[in-house]
Amino acid sequence: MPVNEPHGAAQAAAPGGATAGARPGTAEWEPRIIGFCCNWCSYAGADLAGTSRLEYPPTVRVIRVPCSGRVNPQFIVRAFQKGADGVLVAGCHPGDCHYSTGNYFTRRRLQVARRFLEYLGIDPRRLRITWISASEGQKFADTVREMTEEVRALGPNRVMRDELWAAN
Amino acid sequence: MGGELKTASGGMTGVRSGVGSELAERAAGLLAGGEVRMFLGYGAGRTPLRVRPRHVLRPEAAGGLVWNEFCAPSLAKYLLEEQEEEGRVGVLVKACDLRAVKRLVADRRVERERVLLVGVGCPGVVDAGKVEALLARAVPGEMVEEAGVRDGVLVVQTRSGVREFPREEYLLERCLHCEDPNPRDVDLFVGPEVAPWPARPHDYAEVAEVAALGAAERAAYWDRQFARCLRCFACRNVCPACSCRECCFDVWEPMWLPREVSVSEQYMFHFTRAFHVAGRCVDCGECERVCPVGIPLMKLNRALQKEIAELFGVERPWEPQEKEPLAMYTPDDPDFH
Repeated sequence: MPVNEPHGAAQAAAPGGATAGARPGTAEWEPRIIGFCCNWCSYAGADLAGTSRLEYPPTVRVIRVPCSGRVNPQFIVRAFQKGADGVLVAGCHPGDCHYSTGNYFTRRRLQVARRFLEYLGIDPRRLRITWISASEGQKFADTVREMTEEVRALGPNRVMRDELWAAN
Repeated sequence: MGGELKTASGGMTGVRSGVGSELAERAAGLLAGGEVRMFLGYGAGRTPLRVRPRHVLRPEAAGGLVWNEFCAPSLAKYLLEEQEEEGRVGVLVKACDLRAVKRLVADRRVERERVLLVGVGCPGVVDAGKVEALLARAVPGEMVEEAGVRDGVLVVQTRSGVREFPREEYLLERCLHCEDPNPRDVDLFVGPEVAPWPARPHDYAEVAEVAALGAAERAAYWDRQFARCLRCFACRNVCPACSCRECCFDVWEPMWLPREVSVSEQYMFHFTRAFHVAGRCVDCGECERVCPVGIPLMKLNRALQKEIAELFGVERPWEPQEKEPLAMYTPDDPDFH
């Protein structure tokens, strides 16, 4: 495909249901979600979900970060470029940050980033920012399940994708 | 716009340009008295519609300085490299340029004491690119021979005749929003004060227009805009809020911006450029003015301004804030739901 082809064209060219496997438009297609989880709360929350044997869809790829404040908005753009259909950023509840104030800055920054991404054409439901403590394994599982349903309904992301992922 | 160009009656009589020699005299005086080691102003450009920055080092060279309605470029960013040498630099600033200097001072990239701000009242500057495009559309290969302003109307003498452009048609967009054309708190003021004109409100109408599109159309719109990007970095280089010593676009490790030119990477570039100046953009519009392919960059910057104003109650987000909106927080900031 030509490098500068707009994603609209890519969408038209995408195989619609004819191909086997996890192609978009097939029943097997599952959203890919990148989950940035802070080390101190949300990653431990995800761990708890696992040790508690809570079931949630295997759609999320967790990336551990020291603090939700570590999540540079460029990470989010990069995730969408490289094939993510949704991005989850999870941190400690405001007031509970291991570094006292990190997540307060995250909240401001990502409020703006989320609206800005929407302005650029990314559906805001594809970027979820939420607070999950180390004891909230259930909330982690619920969040992933809800987000998976939502992103599944939205279908594969087409915006910002690089060539490799454009048709996927 | 488009269609017929208006032909001016009365030819070029009474068309003036500039505020006379006062500026040159002041600059020469500052240099001769040793108050500044250099004076940054404007000199004649390659067409009568354009000027170029002029670095004056000797009093006898000050005669080449001009000040007129074509002095659109901001000289603020040139102060950065001048900081590397000892001594004080004089710089000519319009009201909009002053915001840019304040930005650089607030970011501690320029020392206020090492700059002598020479303010000038500005009647609004000409968007040379827009005028040139209008002329070229009407008469291919049109050449401008002389230009000036008469009673708020731009009069341009070209090879094929004398044309005139009403204010709304030739002014830079930022001038239409200008609230006070006279820079305040400068060290020196040259020429007369200029009476303010009714300013367009900062109502973010152009942002609302894009936001009103559906998500897919919005993405398609930005695809079209970004696909033209040449990655010349002119928007970054001219921006008074973009002054990091090491820019993320220049580092190779990690490679934030791959050198590949694809729409996908253009999103990375434009998202990052706009986001890195979010809450610090002074709304000078220089990025959009210098863009060689006409990407509406201010629609990105203004969208961020609007969001910051709405989310955090910043009333005049285009002015340097006491605390940068994205470098602070309050415990009761709006949450996600």
